[in-house]
Amino acid sequence: MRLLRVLGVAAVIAVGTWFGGWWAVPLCGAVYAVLRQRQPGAVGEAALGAMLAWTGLLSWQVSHPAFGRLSTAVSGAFPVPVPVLMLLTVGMAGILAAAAARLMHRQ
Amino acid sequence: MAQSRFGTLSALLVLGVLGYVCSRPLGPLPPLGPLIDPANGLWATVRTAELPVIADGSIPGLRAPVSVTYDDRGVPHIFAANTADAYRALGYVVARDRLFQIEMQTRAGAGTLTELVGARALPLDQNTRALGMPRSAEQRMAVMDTSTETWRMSSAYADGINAWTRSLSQRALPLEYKLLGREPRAYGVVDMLHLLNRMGYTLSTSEDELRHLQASAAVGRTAADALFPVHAPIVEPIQPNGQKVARVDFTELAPPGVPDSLAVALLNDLGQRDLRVALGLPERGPDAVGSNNWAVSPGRSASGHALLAGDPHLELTLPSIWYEAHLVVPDTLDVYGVTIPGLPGIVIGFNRDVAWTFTNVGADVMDFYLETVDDPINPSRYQLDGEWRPLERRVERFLEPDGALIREDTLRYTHRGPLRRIRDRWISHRWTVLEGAARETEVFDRAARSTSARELLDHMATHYHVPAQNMLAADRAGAIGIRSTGRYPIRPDSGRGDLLRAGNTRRSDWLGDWKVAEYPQSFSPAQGFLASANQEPLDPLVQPRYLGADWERPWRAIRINELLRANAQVTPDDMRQYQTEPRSARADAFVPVLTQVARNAPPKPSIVRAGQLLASWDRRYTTDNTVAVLFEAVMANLSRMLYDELVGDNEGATGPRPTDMMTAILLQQPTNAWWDLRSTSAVETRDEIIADALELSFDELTARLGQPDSSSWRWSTHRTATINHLLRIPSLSRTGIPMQGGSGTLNPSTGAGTHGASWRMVVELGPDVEAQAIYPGGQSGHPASVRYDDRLAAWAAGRLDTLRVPRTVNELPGNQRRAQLTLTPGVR
Repeated sequence: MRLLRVLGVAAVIAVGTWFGGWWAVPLCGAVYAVLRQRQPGAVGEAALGAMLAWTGLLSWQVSHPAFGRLSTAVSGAFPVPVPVLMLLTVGMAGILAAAAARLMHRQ
Repeated sequence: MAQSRFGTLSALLVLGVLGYVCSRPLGPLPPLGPLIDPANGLWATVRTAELPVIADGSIPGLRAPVSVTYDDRGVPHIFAANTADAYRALGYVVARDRLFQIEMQTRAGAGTLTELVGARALPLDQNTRALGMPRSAEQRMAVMDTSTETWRMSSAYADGINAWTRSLSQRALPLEYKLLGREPRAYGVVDMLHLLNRMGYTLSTSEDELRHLQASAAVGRTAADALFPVHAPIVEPIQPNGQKVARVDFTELAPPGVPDSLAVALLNDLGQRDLRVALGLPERGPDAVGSNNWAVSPGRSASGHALLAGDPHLELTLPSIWYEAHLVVPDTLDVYGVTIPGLPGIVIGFNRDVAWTFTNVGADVMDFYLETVDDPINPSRYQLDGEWRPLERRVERFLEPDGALIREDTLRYTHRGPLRRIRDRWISHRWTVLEGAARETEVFDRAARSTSARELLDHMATHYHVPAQNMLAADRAGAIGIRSTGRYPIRPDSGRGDLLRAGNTRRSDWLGDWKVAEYPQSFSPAQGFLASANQEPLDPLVQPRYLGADWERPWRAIRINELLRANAQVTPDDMRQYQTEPRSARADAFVPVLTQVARNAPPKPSIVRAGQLLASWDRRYTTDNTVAVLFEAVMANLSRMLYDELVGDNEGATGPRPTDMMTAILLQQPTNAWWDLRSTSAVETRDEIIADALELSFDELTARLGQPDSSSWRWSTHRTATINHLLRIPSLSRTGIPMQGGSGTLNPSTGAGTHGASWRMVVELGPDVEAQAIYPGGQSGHPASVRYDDRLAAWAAGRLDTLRVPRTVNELPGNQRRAQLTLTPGVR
C-alpha cells in the first residue's frame, strides 16, 4: 500500500513538474502532507515520490540519443561532474518535497 | 512538542533557503529551480537537439504556405510564393537554429549585452555606445521610410524570427537562455541596424592616426611616414597594373630621427598606455582579419566556364557567424549562400547566373580629431572656427537583466561624431559606419536577383556603403569583375586620414566622397583572373590619392597571383587546394637572405644550425614541418631588434610595430640606420642583427622545445585554431584544431588562432551552377545537435562539401532530405 502511495505521489509530481515546473515538487509535497495528516511516514513518502518522479523524468531525458553530447556540453558550465549534478538534482527534489511536507504535516 | 517545533522550524528554514536559490539568481548563476527542472530545464533541451523529420509552424503575415526542405547537410531550402514570404520563412528557420546567437550579436551592436549576461559585459557595452553605434542605428531607424522594400523585407524577416520565438515553450528554449536564466526578447528592424553596425566595427575601424602619432613621438614624423607609409611599398594591387610580378619600391627608408615635440607633448597628455584600447578600437593581431577571393575567366579554366572562390576570414565562433540557406521564389529569386543570423538576405553566394563574394578593403573610413572644449572635466561646448558650439548630450543607461540600473554614462557629440575623454584631452571621431545608409539589407536582395557580374557590381557600387568591401563577381556568360565598393571620404589639404587632425576648424572636415568611377575596379581583364587579399587595391603609380594607410601585407596576394599566373587550366579542385595552400610568399622573401647571412656569419653553432634548417625548409606551413616555428621566432626577434627605437623607455611600454613588409624593404638596405641597436654604442648592420636573431631564436627554441628533430617543433603543436562559443564556455568551444598555414599564407593562422576561414566557397558558373563550400561549425546552434560542429573536421582538412541546389522541392532526392517544415499563415 505504501509503495502505491509513493508511486501515486511520484506520478502527480511528475505531471505537475511537466506542466508547472519545479514549484510542483514542494507544492505536491505540501498537499500530500495535508491529505495524510497525522499519518506516519507521509513526509518520507513525499520525499521518495519526488525523487522517484524526477529520477523518472531525468531517465527519460538520458535515454535520448543526444544526451551524451548535451552532457559533454553542459559539463563545462558547472563546477561539478554531470552525474553529481544529476544526483544533486534528485536530492534537491527530495529535500524540497520533504521540507514542504514536514511544514504542513501534523503528527 | 519542542521536538516538533524544532522540526517545523528546520523545515521552514530549509524550504526558505531552497526556495530562494531555486527562484532567485545567485551571482552569475541563474535561479536553480527552472535550470534543474528535469522536464523543462537544462536537460529538456536534449529533446530539441535535432530537427523533427516533419514539422509545421505559422507566421503572421504570411500570404501563402511556404515549404522548407532541409537537406542532408542541414541546409534549409525555402520555397515560397513571394519574396516577403521567403524572408519571413528565412527569419523563422534561422531563429529555429540560431536564436540565441541572433540576440547575442544584436545586443553586442546595441550595447545592451548587460541586459542579457549581466554587469560583466559593462565594458563592452560602454565601448559600443561610446563609439556611437546605438545612437546611429536609432537615428537611421527614426527616418527609415516604411514604404521601401528594405522595410518590407526587414519587417517580414523580423516577423519570422518573432513567430519562432513566440512558439517556444520554456522547455524548448535554447540551452544558453537556460544557463543564463533569461528568455528571448522580440526582434525588431532596428536590431538589424545594430547588427550592421557591429559588422562595421569588426571590419572598418582604424587606428592609423594613433599609430602614426606614437611613431612620430618616438622617431619623428619623417621616419614615422617611412615606416607607416600611406602606400604599400610592395605593390600587387587588386586592380591589375599590367605587371607580371609584384612591384617593389626600394626607396631608402628614412632613419629614426628626433622625436616630434608636438607628438611627444600630445602623447604625454594622453598617457602612454595603449591609445587604441583607450579609444575603444578592436584588438587586431597580424592577419587577424585576412580574407582572399579570386575569379578566373573561362579562357583560363579547364571547363571553359568562369570560376569564383570566396574565402572571408573572420573571428571564428560557435555557432558560426554564417548560416547557409537557399531561397526560391518562382521567376523572382533563386539564391543560395550564407546569411548572417539576424540579417535578411544572402550576403555571400550565388544564383543561377552570378556568384559573388567579398574581402575587406581596409580603407581608412574613421578619422580622429583633437577637440578644444570649454571644460576639461564636464564640457558642454566645443570650439569651431573661433566660436563655441554646444555639444549634444546623450545619457546612456546600462541595465541588469532584471532592469536594475548598473550605470549611467553621459556621452557628448560634436557635429563629426562621438567625443571621448582621454585624461584631460577630448578626441572626437567621424566614421562612415555611423553614417551608413539604412538600405544595406535591400542591397543583398537586389544582388540576389542580378543576372550578370556587371549588374551586381553596379548595383552594389550605388547602394552599398559600409563596411567597404572588395566585391568580386563572376557570371555564367563568362564575365568576371571586382570593385572595392563602399564609401571613401575625401579629406582636405594632404588628403591623409592617418594623422590626428585639429577639431577646432571646419577645414579639417571631410570634403565629400570618392566617385564610383574612381573606385578600384576591373572587369574581365586580359590576364584572365582577378584576386584580392586585403592588399592596397590600387597601384599608387596609377592612383596616388589617399584611400588608407593600414594595408594588409602583400604575401597572400602575391601567392594567389603566382598560383593563378602559373595555371591556365584552373579547375574547381585547384581553387579548393589554393584556399589552404601552405606555401608562404613571406618566407620566400626572407629565407634566402636569412640563409645567406647564416652562411657568411661567424661560425657559431646555433647560427649555422639555424641557417641549415631554414635552407632545408620548403617554406610550406604544413602541420608536420618543424622549421616554421624557427622562422617565426626569427621574424619576431628581428622585428623586436629592428624597431627597438619605437618602444618607449617606460617599463611595459609598447610602441607601434611596422609590418614585415617594411622589414622586407629594409632587408634590401643593409646599412640603413634602422638596423642599428639603440642599446649599444656600436653601429650594427643588417647582417649582424640577422645573425643575432638567428642565434637567439635557435637558442631560445632549443631551451624551450629541445632539439629541432623533436616533435615539439612540429607546427601543429604551435598553431591551432581556436573556435570559442559565443559565451566562451569551454565545453561548448572547440580548441586545439591543427591547421595547415601560418602568417601570410592563404590560410593564415596566427596568434591565438581565433580568426580564420569563415566560409570557403568555390563556384563554377556553367550551364548549371555547381558549387562547393564549407564553414567551421555546423548549421545548428544547439550544442547537443550533431549539426553543431559536424563540418569542423572537413573544414580543418581543407575539404569542401558539394552544395545541393534544387530548383524545386522534387529535385532534391529523397536520400538527401533530412527534414521538412511547412509554414502557414498565422495570426498576430
